[in-house]
Amino acid sequence: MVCLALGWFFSGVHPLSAQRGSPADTAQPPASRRRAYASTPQVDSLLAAARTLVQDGDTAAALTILARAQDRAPRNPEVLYQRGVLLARTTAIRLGDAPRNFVAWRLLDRAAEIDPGNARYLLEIGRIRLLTPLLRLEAERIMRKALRVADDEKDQALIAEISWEIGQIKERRYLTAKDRYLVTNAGLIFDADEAMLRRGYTREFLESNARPIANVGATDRTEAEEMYRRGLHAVPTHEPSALGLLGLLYDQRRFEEMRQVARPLLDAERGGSALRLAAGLAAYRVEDWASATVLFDSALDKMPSDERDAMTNLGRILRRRDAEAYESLSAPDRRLTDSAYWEAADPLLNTPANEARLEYLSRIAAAELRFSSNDLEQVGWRTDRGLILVRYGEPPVVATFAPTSAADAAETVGRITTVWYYPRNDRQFVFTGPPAMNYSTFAGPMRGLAEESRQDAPFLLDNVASLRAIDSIAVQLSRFRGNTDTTTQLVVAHAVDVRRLYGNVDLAEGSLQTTLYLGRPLAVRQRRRDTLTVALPAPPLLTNSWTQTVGVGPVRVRVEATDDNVAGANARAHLDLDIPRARRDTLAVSDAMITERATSQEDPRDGWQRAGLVPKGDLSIGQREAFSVYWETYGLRPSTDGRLKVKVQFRVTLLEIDRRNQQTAGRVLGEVADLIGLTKEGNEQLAVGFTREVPARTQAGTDDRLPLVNTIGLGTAPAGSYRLDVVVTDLVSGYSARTERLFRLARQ
Amino acid sequence: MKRCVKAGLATALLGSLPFALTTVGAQERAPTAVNEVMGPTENDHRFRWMAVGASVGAALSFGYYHLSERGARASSCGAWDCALPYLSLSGALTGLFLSRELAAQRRALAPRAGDALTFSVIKVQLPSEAFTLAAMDSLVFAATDSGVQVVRVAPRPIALQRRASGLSRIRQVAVNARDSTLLIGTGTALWQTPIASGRLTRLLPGSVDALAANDTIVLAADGARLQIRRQYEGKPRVDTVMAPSSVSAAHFDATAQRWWVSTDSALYEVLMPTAGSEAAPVLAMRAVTGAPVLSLASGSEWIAAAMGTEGVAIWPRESLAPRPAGGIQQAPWRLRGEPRFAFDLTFLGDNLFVAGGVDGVTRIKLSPAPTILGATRQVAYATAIVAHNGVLWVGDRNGGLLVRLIP
Repeated sequence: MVCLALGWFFSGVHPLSAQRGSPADTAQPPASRRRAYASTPQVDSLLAAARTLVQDGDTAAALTILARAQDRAPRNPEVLYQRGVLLARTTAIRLGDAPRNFVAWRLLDRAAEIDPGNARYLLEIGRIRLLTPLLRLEAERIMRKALRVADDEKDQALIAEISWEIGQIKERRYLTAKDRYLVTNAGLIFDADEAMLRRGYTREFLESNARPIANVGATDRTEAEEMYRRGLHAVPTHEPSALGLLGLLYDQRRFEEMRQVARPLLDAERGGSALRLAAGLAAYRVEDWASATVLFDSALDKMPSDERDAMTNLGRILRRRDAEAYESLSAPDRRLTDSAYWEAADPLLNTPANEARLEYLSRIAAAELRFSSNDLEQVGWRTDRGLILVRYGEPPVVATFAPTSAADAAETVGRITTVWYYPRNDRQFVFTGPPAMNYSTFAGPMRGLAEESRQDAPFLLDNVASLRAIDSIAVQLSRFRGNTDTTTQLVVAHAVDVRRLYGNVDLAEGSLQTTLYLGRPLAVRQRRRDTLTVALPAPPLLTNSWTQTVGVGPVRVRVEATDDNVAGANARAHLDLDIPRARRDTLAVSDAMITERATSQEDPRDGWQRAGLVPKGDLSIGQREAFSVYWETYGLRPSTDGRLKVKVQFRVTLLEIDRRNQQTAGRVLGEVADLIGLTKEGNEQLAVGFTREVPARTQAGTDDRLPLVNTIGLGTAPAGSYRLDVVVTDLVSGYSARTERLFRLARQ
Repeated sequence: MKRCVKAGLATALLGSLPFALTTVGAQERAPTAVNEVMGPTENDHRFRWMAVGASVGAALSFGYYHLSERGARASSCGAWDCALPYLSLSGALTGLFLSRELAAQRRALAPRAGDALTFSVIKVQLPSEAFTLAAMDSLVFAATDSGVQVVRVAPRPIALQRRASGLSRIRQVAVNARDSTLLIGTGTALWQTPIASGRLTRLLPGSVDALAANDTIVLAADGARLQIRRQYEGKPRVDTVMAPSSVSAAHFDATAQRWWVSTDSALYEVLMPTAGSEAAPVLAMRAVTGAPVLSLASGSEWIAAAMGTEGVAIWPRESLAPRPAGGIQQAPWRLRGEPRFAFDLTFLGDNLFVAGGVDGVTRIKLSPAPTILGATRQVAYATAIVAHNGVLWVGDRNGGLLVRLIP
């Protein structure tokens, strides 16, 4: 209770904290009325002492002092008010606190009788009503009376405060009725247990047994909006009214209006973190990514560090085990993990904004805006609904059902049932909560379902069209030893499916940008950017390769292809790999790089580029098509006659037959045949060996490197995925080394 | 029993008190007032509804009397001393609450100024929300995220083909009637394509935030940079003019043959050089708006600007002349409050129609002075509007619709 009081005091709501209080509380009655009641120095000093005690957090002692002040001046409205408010604010919404609320109400009522022109008393009485079960319904009437008094007094700060309170009452009613469905079959109720057990139950129920009620709650929503606007008209920087209005506008997708409502507060540097989050959300929804990023970041900056850390904590969008590991990290490590996570999640580094992080923050902002509750001290993104919203986005289908009186469904008695349905993956969540409170928790077993769902998919971005439309780029990465032990030549060969990227766009030509980002995780930098003019209709594939020198350790590779002019012309590849330190004392083999069939007779020892090799970015070879394999062997020992002698063995193994062109029955039979070994799956399609002998080079650093290229064909091998193993044996030392590469044989 | 009835009635009347005290008196049709409260309160007919409810209750009690064997059922509620007052009172209370709810609904849907209007409506499904609309001959063009939807307007509106499918961030569309081409402004460039078929070619680089076109002149704004493409010595020439701040709307005034652009604070006229002149166009400030303008429109005698929450500003055209009559520039008419957010606007005869988001389409009569006649809520979320051949075409964000309204 003391904590509650402290929190309330420091939030500036209590009139004793008038120096930093909200405008309503700092507003004084007009001078003509201020001294209508007598006050003595003794009473003033007691009030001052109470103020000090509240500041120190000792509300019990403050109440004692105020009781003494009341004994001395029983008709001093200020004393009655202070005591009544302090009593009221140290209670919560429960029956046990009703007597305390009753005393507070009596004190404030007396203050209002003595000084009827002061709306503060009525406002506080209304607030007490809101905290009192059953009498909560009467709060609106008292608030409206307070508003009339404040109007008469032209007390703008109080008008704003009271209008906001009435707006809150109306908004809670609207939220109770919003998205209401009517069950068309009498006696039927939505069963949360059934929804959990039977896939498709929610869809069937909503389609067959219920229908939405049009425009339900619109009256309360309109009245709430008018009240918030009235509050803002009285005090244009009244943040609670602005936030209330922003929430209602967001529900109606009035994002442009949201931005204009927030602008005066932001311009006046008055907006707190909640307002900035809401403004960022509006900017995000109108696709102003730059403003959204700035607003979200400024909102986070304005928060206390512990709140910011909690809000940006990734634990809630990780699987349980990962979350536990994440939570066990130290704060700096956690921050590094956060950065690495969002860098990896960023769909396109080509764009200045990180769309995945923005989506996450927009979900936090939406939960904060819509599920926060002042009177319940409820933080929106920490609620059950907030949790699901952050993980899966805003549900495409929301249905609420009125309370029932069914004895066998205790959870729906006197409680609103809220159903969130995600048709894309048939995911559903059910919440229940009391009416007019904006409070809902998982219904019955739904918490368990949410956990199961978390294991299956802890964080989905499939609601974002721009993220769904990102195509993939096929990449073949090949590592070759660099000039020193600590450097590696990385060949990034890629193939962009241009035809799929451009689809049926009406453009005469496209302007495709392909970009290579490379570096350590968290330090990925743009290394190459090519702009290609693509005549449309486009060719099927666009292949290219880049060679970059990288150091030892983890390396992140991003290849992106975008055409800003074309919607959905976005593709990317994201790979993490480890670059080992070169060892000169052992035999080693580089990656085997699959290339187009070599046509040049150039010696590959002068470099694969000079040998005219073209790496295949998509690692896909047509049936009956020959292809070449390039690799380098390191650490070969020259023989006494100064020659390098190797034995090479190629093995190509069929991993899986491509049966995509077969009917279902054929596919099933084929797979059964695979299992019992009747087909070629698992068989070696090719096994060849040969020896090669070349004179050793004498230049330092290159004497142990032997680049080789070999062309092979798989004849009538079936289409499917294959593994190529290259085993190299040094015939001088007797050591062997191997490398492998997966590739695909495409159906012609 | 009587005491009980009195107490019940008193409670009912007490319950209605806050409602009665908080209703707002009928507003005058004041055109330029900022109206922050809800629209005119209609009579909620509470007594009529209470009487209806009480009558229903009384009728039920008669039924009860007959069904209960002339009220002779022992040890139960008698027909006249119990059922009649109980049911009448219940009915009256129900009627009271019904009247309040219905009145509140009417209030919620009523415009803040003027009357609730009803027009003849036909809706056409678009692929997605229309950002801007343009019209030419028997066609209407809607710029959407999925391309520019071409709609044939007569005899019944029918969606034809979609042009510029696949372009990203289509936000502007204009028609060049001279060569029957579509001009499409996106987040990356201004594109041109024949109306019927053919591929797009890039006309101007850079994002297009505002677009206007007429004959051989095309005006596109990218932030504060205005690009004006026109013919000079038979060849296209592009002049660049920098505005003091970002340009948010552009318009060609066909009546006066003048070009207008607006920024976040002012309205400018673009003074085009005479045909064949090598001089570059020049910007001349004509009025201070004080707020960003989302859309501009011109009528026979007026220029109007939609300014979001700042409402609508309307200037008599002569007051925006370089040298206004009498040397004094007249302050614009300002209409705020209805609609609460002005997205777009268009002139149709002597009326100005404003696409006002969830407030639908607002009709403003201009002569002798701008007056709000009312609004129609037949368009759930009006964001774009264009008048053509005596009818209005409105983009409805809810459901991605194109709505034809015949005033």
